[in-house]
Amino acid sequence: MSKPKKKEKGPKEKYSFWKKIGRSFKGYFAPLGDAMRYGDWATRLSFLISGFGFFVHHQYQEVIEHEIITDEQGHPDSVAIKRRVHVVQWLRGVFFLLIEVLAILAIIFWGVPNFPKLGLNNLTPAGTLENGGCEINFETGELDCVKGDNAFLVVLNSVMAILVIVAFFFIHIASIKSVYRNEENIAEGKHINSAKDDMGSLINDHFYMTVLALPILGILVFTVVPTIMMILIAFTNYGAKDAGGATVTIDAFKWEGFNLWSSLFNLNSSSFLVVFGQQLIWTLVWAFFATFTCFFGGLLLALLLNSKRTKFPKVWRTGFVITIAVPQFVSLMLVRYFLADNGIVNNLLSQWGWTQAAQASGFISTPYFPFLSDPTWTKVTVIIVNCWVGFPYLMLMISGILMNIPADLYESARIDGASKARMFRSITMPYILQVCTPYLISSFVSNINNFNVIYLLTSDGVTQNQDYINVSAKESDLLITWLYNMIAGGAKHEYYMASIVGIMMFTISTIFTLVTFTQSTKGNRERRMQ
Amino acid sequence: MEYKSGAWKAHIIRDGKLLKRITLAGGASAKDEVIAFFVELKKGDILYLTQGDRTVGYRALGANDAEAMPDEEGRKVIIGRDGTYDIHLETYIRGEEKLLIYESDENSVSLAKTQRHNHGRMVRHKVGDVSLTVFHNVFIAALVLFWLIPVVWLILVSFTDGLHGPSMSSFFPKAGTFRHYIDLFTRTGGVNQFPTWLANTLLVSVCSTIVSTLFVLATAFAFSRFRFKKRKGLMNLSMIVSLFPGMLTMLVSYYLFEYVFHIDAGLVRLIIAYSAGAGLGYLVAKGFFDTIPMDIDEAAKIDGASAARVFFQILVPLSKPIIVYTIITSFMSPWVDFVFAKIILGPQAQANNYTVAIGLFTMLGEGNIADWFGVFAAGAVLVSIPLSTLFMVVQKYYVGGVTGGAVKG
Repeated sequence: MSKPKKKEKGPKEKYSFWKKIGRSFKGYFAPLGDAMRYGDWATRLSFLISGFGFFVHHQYQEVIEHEIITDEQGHPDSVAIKRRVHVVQWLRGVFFLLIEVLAILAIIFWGVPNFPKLGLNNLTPAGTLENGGCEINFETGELDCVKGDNAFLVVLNSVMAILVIVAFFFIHIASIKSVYRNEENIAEGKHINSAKDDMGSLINDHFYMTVLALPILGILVFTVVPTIMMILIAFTNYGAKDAGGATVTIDAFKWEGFNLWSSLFNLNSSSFLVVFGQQLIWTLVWAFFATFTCFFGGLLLALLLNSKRTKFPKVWRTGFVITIAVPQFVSLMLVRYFLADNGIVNNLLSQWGWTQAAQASGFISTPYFPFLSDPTWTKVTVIIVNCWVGFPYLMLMISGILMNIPADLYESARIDGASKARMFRSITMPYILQVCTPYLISSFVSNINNFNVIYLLTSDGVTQNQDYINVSAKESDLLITWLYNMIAGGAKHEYYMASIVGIMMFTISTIFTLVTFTQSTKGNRERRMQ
Repeated sequence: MEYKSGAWKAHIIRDGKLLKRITLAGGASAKDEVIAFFVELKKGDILYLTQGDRTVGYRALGANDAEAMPDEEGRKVIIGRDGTYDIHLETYIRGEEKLLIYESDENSVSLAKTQRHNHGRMVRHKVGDVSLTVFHNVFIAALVLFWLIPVVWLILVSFTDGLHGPSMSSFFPKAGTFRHYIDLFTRTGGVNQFPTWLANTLLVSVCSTIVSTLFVLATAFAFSRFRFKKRKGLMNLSMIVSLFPGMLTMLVSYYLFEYVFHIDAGLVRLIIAYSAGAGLGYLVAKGFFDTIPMDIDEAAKIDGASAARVFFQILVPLSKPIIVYTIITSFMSPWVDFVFAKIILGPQAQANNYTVAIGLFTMLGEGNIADWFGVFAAGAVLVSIPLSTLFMVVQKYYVGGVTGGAVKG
């Protein structure tokens, strides 16, 4: 009996999934159909002119106001006055109309001149993008320069125009629905908000709109638009070498689609994939070690400092805090000079004879310890130096946690005969782990992008590996420091490659975050806490 | 240590009447001592402990605290369950007194005996402890000193004369000087423009702090207090947007400033760049707001307050810790950032537009380091002092913020 049941389930589930999507589409657009069919002429005109209906629909409301007057004896008294108010939701009409006007302007100024130039197979076919040039004006003897089209601006304006179109699409539909609802409410005699009511709700139930407006605008312009642009650049040849051998500049790039991707990912023609794979592995390894060495180190430090035998714990803690309070670009640079090939540590080790012994035994092949010059040594050094930076952070946090564990737990355990080790295992560790797990996860994810430690320690390192040289990387680079080298360090500025790496980093981060996010069910905790 | 005189007595009250009074010991406690006795108690019985004419406060501990609960002042214990109870009195030389109550079963009985044995050991335990404590503290001191080596070196370098770059053969300077600190402020123009950098960075950090804090608090407030339709969608979207490498975002922002907005003033660019996207960092603040119960909001709304008033007059005063945290972290960020600022200012940036971080960092460049390493150290020391202080102020709040999303205040 189970087999036929199973067969039924499969197709039925798929069917219901599409049905769900179809139903939500229908639900979204259905009111438009109603508005067209059952709305009055003003509502129908609102399909063309956003919010037109708001200027036409009106309602008479009886408003009771209380006025304070003084009666005959001079005492204040209140009188109820009934007034007939003519309510027209002109404010909403103006709002929607304004948006439509702005959208049309945006399309005219941003979209119209630039859409034809987009040329999806080639951004600069002859004649579409005008090239700038200077010519001598024979009359005045001066150079007349005409600014050519800027490929970046073309794409940017087009992107902004498209965003405006998309936004306007949704807002316009909302305006039509709103007008129709307005008409319905009036017909049913329900109260509609006057302009004053609407303004009031903006600082009350809808205060979030007022408050989120500016931040969202800032994020849109300076985070969302740049992100979209950077993703698009990955499909251009900005920064690559063009046919003549010159580097393509920001104003003259062309669409390449996936051409450059495939040439990069081709193991024969480019070192990219090899390097990317190795960088990815090293980034993950680094993030793992960085997070967990710091956690255990910080734990040990915290236990040490929290022990009852410690005198002046605040002094010691302040000492540790100073090391992380000094800005990283200062402290890490100093450590770099410490550990340089001719730096203090090497000099001291040489004075003590350690270098000679290591050289004689074949441990090192150079007359110094290559802490930051040999690729493998560098990786180990970097992890250890990161411990130096990271232990105090974790120590602080775990100290805070340790001090908050209720002492009663330990007392009752002691009575029950638990040894110190047992108490640590069964009380301290689980408590710490429970509180720290979300932090550990987010620390792992943020260590993947830990720019400072690696960059400051290794920025002057040199690589011998030709593969790495080709793509401006070093063995000890994380994906993010490689990214930086591609756009700011070194001679090559291969922005399209940086974009491609950026997209892949983004994908990886998203996967990690989604995985860890679904594990920690934070969703319902908010309401419960409130 | 005071040795109090008077007999130790335990009083058991049942149904409002004294059931039993047990004398535990007589006289002052001049040594570590443990006294125990068993007694049958019923639920609802109350236990007092007195010495002489004072009532002793204590904690009650048990395998299950519900069995014997101290009242709020710790002056008496209320028994929660019928049973045979083992009552311990422990007194110590260092003045601590402890009354422990737990239900006795086989294990507890033997424990009582064991502890009686142990009290002698407690004294010995204190004497042999000293050398271990000394070693413990010396070890910690050594660790701290080791951790501080680079910081100490920085300070030494800033006072060292005759420097030609950072590779030195000895740790301690052979000759000392104040020259670097003086040069920092006088030998300006060109590579070193420290006073200008200070002014620049101060301006940028003050302005961007104001805007950032407003944006972060506004966003956190909106997401915490309102449940509007697009809320979950916006939160997920903001998380995804923030995952794209910030470096690339800054690069395009540079082009936006250069080609679209035509803002050439480097400092204005920095202020905008640091604060425009600040709303994305709302998580910690939102976590804090979430811990303030909505009942407060609702009570205020019943009294007629609008949401805006709720925010400004109720939530903000309650949120001082998170506001301080947000302000300080926003303020510190432009001082330590040497990557994004350089990208935003662009490749044609002039030295007099730098922030302190960029400026000091360029002093370490290939051609500059021989001349300027000492000055760099001096500048770094000067900048580190206020930054460290701010950091130590905020780390009180930081610890709580990282672990619970609720900032301790």
